[in-house]
Amino acid sequence: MRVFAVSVLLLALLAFHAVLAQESAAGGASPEDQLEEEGNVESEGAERAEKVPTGSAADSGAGEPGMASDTPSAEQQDEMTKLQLGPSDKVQLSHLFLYPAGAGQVGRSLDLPTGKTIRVAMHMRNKGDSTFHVDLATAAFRYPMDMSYVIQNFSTVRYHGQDVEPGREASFVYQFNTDPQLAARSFGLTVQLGYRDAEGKNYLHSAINQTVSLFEPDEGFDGETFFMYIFLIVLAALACAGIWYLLKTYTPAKKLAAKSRHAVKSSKAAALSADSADGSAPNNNNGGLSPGGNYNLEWIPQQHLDIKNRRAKTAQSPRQRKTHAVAHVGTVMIHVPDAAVAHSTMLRPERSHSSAVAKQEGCVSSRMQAGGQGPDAEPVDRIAEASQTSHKEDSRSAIANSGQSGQQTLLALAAWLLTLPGMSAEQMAA
Amino acid sequence: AMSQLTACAFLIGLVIFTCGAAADSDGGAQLIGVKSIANNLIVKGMDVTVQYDIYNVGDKAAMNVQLEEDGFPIDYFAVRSGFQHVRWTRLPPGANVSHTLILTPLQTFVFNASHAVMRYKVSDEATGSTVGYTTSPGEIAVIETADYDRQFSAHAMDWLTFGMMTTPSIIIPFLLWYASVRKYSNLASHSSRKNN
Repeated sequence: MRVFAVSVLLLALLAFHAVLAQESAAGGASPEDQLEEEGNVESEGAERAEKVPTGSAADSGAGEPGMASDTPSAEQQDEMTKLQLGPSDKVQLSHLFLYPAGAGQVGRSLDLPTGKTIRVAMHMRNKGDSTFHVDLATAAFRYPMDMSYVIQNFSTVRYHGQDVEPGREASFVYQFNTDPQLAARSFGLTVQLGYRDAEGKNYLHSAINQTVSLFEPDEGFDGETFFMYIFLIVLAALACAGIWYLLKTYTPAKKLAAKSRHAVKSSKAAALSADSADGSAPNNNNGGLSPGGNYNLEWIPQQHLDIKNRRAKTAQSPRQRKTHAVAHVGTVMIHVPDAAVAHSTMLRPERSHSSAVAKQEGCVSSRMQAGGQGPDAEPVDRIAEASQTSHKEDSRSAIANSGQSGQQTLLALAAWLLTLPGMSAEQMAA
Repeated sequence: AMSQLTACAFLIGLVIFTCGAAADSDGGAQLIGVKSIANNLIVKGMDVTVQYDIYNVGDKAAMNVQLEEDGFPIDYFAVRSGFQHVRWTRLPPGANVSHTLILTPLQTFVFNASHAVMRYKVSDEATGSTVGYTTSPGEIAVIETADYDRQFSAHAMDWLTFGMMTTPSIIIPFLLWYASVRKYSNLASHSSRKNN
């Protein structure tokens, strides 16, 4: 029984070894291929690969993911022989991804992010007898099914003939950028080191020759989306503000009138109560507003509002009216409360308050006479004064209105000459 | 029993042979050394940070790892911090170490930063040391301090001078406006007091 178990174990080990031997035999068609595979196996070892056969016998350069021990396909060999550039059997290469760190190691497929700078370090060991001069490194994305078909070539980095003496090693860093627009798909990545030996023969040795899959990295914060949301919020706020403004503008007039009437009442309450004792202000039953209720009438001098009391067509000319106004201060403001009275006193400070008031009332009476309406009861002295002024006024109007014939002009001139003494006397009395 | 013993011996031999066949031909440590300069700008009189990263991508631990940096001449660079000759006893497989060297350029020149040298033993039982070269950063240009300041300094004195020169254009109209505002606001308050 024990012998049987031992023999079974023996057979298993033999099979194990046979498969391994087959693997190396299949890969070792030519010395250089064997060495390249050896180099790849080295890199596999460098990546801590397990020593389990993974069906590499069937693999003949098809570039399956994770398999570093690819043999060059027939096309690749053709290309290399055409260019006469291949690896040297005295050189052993291995690689390590610096960014993204740990890519392509055991247990992880080689996934590269798009839109990033990929950094890879290559390690070269000179096992020969002469110095090698390392010139350049280049990389390419190829079609995974056919590694001779190049999709994208990456820039060549020059190392300026760095010397690697026999028995020594050297490290080289190569970096390239994956385009962010490359969709998530798989490519065949080749990273090659170009060097020459002491005789000047050039070699192109693949440090990486495997299939990689590109993925789009997950960005944490997308500025574009963030500001787009801010823009939409502001647009919505603007729309709301616009609707509110439209509603406010086109509400019915009643609401507005009520608002303004309330405002007018609250602000002018004291003023109105002060004026009510005077009794001069007319009672505007709209509360200080226009009949339509659209605007406030409180600030307009009353003489413009009392249309009934406006002068008839036989109004004076502006020149006469101006002279009249100079003589009789405060003609304009009659029914306005005390503020207007104060203003009139400011204009002619030499006149007393009472005389100014008297003049006002006199003017009122004269205007009333001209207009044909007015209060009935008046003191006699005022009438006398008014008649004097009205006489002057009539003469002025006579002068203005005449002009139909030369005789009338002469008569008018004479009348004016007569009024001159009256005017001067009045001014002296003032 | 004797046949069993021979069978066992053969078994053990086969195992060892298998392991040996599947293993790498060299089977030792492999060190990748990356030397990089961390600065974006290298300015005379300001610190330059040189960073060394050593990765062990081999199967075995590297023993007696030495890093020797002789590429910065003493009359061109002054060492501020860090060592130019470093030694690690052991670097396990799959591990990496970092070392930083801080220098100050003493002159303005274009400098070719070359590689540093690593020496290590590929395994415990290895006889001699393996010499490896790190990567080379390449040509670096040291720029003048004045050029750097023109771009990056705070320009405090410049701003102060600018402020002093623009103050009259702002202060004079403001004073005029302020005087006018005060005069007319006083007038308004006087007149409103009189009217009331």
